[in-house]
Amino acid sequence: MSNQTRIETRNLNLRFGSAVVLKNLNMSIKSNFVTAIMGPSGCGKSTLIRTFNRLNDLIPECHIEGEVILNGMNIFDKKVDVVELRKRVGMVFQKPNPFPKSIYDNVAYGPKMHGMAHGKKLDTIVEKSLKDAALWAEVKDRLRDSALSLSGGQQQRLCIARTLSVQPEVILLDEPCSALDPAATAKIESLMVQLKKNYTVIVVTHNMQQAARVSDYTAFLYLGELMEYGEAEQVFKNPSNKLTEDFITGRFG
Amino acid sequence: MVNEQVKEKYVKIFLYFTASFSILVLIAIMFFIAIKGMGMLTVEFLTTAPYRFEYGGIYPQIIGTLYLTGVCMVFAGPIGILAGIYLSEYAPVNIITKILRFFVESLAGVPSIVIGLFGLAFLVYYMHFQISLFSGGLALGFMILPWTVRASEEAIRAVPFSYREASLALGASKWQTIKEVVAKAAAPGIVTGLLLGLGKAIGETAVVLLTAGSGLESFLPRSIFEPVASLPVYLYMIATQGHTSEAYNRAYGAALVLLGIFLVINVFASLLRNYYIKKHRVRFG
Amino acid sequence: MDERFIMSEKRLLDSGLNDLADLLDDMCKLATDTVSASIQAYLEGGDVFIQVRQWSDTLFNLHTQVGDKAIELIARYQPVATDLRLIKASIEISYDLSRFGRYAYDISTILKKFNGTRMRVEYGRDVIAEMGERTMSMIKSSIKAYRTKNIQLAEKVGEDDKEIDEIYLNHLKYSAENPPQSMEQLIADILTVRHLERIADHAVDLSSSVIYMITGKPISGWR
Repeated sequence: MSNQTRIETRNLNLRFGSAVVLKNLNMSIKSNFVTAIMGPSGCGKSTLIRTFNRLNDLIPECHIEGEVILNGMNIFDKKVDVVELRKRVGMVFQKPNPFPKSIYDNVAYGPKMHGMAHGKKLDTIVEKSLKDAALWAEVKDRLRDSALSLSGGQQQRLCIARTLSVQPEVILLDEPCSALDPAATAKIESLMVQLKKNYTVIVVTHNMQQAARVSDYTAFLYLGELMEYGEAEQVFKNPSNKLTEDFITGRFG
Repeated sequence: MVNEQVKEKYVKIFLYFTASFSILVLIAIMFFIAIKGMGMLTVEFLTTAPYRFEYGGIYPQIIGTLYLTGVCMVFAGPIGILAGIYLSEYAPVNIITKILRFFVESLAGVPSIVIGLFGLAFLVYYMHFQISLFSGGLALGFMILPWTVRASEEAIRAVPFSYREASLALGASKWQTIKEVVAKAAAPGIVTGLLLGLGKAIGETAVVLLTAGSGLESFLPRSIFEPVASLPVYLYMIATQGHTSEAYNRAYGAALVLLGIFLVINVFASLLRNYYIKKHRVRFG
Repeated sequence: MDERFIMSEKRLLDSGLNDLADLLDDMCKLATDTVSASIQAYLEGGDVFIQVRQWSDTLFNLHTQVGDKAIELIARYQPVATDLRLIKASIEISYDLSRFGRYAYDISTILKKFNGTRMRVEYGRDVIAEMGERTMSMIKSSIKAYRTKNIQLAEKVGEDDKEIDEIYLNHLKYSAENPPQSMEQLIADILTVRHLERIADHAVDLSSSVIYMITGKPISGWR
């Protein structure tokens, strides 16, 4: 599986109305690695990963040119079923956003919507997802409690479990730790690294150190342009672009 | 020059008195009704039918009122919720939607007697539903529809966008998202809105007077196409045409019962709301 | 520079990096003086043993301080890119500087043991004088390369080292073929050229760290 390209953008341009957000982006993201996309606020990094599951479709006035190839298929193709795409490309958001339902129902929601399982089989999926999200031990005796009774960090891991429940190929994380304390952040970070065994993990972060800790490949986006993209070690030890250098050493922002 | 601190103090005192006054008026009304009506609250009064203005109880009136509000809610509840979903989730932002919303809002301001007259002309005569429970319930529904639409639209709008995003990102369709996540999260708000609409319907007189019955019926309707008695109309009739102390006492008794039902619904609505808010309070950290 | 982003006036890390640079500055001066004093004493005579030992100890202390400061900056600011390379290079450079001191001390130890305070060692004197001069010039060049971030100068130090190696090997061969009367003299002579050769190697290492610091090219050193 490794060294295989999972997602590739080709001349990707995106604008909201007249505001250009992404400029001619070409990058290929490898399977079974953690790829971090960093950049200052408003550089288009969230918008970029939201094109990967076509969540930008919700925004009127959003115009996209170019291609995003997922496993050899352009996701903007008319034949592509958005529902199916979003099942394959899961997403975890900035603020933990569990549904106001029980812990169990949060994780069971996706499989139920897709008619994937019910009864015992559904229980198995819920358990596996919670285990993979490193939350099972903490909630196994309170699956019927409201998800909102969990702490912020637990809620975010629940959201990860909810994403895993529909067995995606790619997991997008949009600044998943920005609302969490350092201990919860550390847990999510180690989880991200574990998840790359079975998934392609793409994380957007404005936290440069976080990108340095978790990512195998690191991209630096600035004003909608891909300034730097390469192996994390290279980017953090010896970036090739002056802007990347200035950003990661905290000289602007 | 007036010292700002002194000015502040006077303003505070003035505001305090206006607030006290409005609360006092409310308490005075409740006290007045309670004292005057208390004497009438006997089992007999609550369980027997009226006979002319001065005799009997208000049993058919109480049950009739409940019937009417029931029919009203069966009609205005689902339509209000679905219209609320449409307006908040599907309606495009354009001139037609704006006009639609304007009409809904205007409907809320139409005097109830006008709606009653429309009910009489359209439901009773044109549709041949007669002066009946059905016509009355439907006309009441017309009246509270704007409120239920507004309440559910606002409750649905108040559901955080992040819920929708999370559901859609899992590959759920828009309708699945609305049905399974948004509507459920909005339920407490919707229910509260409906209950407050119900409170309006229970006390409504003009609409019911023109479409449901004379208020003095001493029987319960055997079908929804028969006239039905109700507390507000009964109260109106005996208070305006009774002219005896016996009739007046009955009016106060009926008013007290009406007030009681009204209070129960309001208390229930706010308890329900608090329960949901407590249950679903979002915690971070 | 692009106007759309604002350059921060001064980062918290910067004052730490300044402290590091100050420590290295002190070390550069001291290392130059120490090596120079010991070579001078070997060639011209003079009792510098205690002085050189003290300077050498100070250099080692400063090296330790640079290491501590570097670790502190890493722990507190998680530096990356040029900052990180500067810190790594500072540790390496301070080690090389402390080695200058150490070899200078070794030379003055030999002087004390074998020559005492006797003046003028004649055997091999010209070779040691030449090597001493070239080595001092490499030290100065490598330090200058560090201070001015001059890659060409740093690369030149590597070239110079080849000449030193040649002189060193030729002299060893010469000494084996034409040994002096006194065995003590031979040992003193050979150890001293050996130490000078090592000092030159560390000047190359230092220059290599300078190149790494500027370009990120791996530190290759004298090997």
